[in-house]
Amino acid sequence: MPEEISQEIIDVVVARLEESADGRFTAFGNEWGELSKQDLISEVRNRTDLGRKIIDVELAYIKALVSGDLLREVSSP
Amino acid sequence: MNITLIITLPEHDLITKYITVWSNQILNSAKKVGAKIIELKREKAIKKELLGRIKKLQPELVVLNGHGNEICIAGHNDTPLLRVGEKVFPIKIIYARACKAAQILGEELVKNGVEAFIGYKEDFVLRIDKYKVQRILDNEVAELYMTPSNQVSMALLKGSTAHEANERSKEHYKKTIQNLILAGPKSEFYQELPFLYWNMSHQVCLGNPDARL
Repeated sequence: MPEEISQEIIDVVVARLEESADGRFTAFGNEWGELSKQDLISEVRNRTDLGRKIIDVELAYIKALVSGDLLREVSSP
Repeated sequence: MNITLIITLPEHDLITKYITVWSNQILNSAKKVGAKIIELKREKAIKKELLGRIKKLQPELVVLNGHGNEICIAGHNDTPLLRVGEKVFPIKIIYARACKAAQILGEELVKNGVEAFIGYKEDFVLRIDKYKVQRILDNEVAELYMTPSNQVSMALLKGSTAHEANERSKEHYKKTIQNLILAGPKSEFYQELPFLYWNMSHQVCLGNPDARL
């Protein structure tokens, strides 16, 4: 049973995606094809498997940024 | 150096087309070190060709470009190339630019005689500037993803160990990430940060870290 995702997290990820530029195709392997910004937002809103994956990507980055791990990692030799 | 490189170059969708075209950086490095290069392009990127060449040539390096999952890496038209349970002849190092293949398949390959396997525990994400789709090598967004990942094979060809090659590639990701953070949200590439961080975090080296071509 996949873990429930809070509405707050959905809102944060959607807000971040909405802020991003339109001009990208995103591919997570071949399973979902080339996705537009609107596709990504819609997958997150609908809490699909791909939406969960996008949330994982965004949250991993946000956590690393907030904890300082990202800066430590990129500035380590 | 007597290195034989086998590289699969499928080209049946936008993503495989990008990965294949950007593999030119790897091919140029291989030429520079005088490696024997076997390119399995398009319809040649199939299981029969790959396993036949591996058996005959016992290559030091195999680069597998294509789609994948935990138990399988695919070739042209997504036909399976290598899957769990497959008997594989001795190969020193495999680099698989394919989603998730390091989760199960990579682990199994190193248990069964491949000295080192570099790949991804999760989906390999590729982003493309959709306004420059046809200008593959001028697509600066794609370049952010392809250049660091190409460093794995390029470093191996230059004599790095498997561990060093993986780290060399991650250094490129780190440099890119650092530059984007410094450029700030006004940079048109700032939004790539989560995806680049994702690819970097899930790229792993399995098996013998000291394996070298």
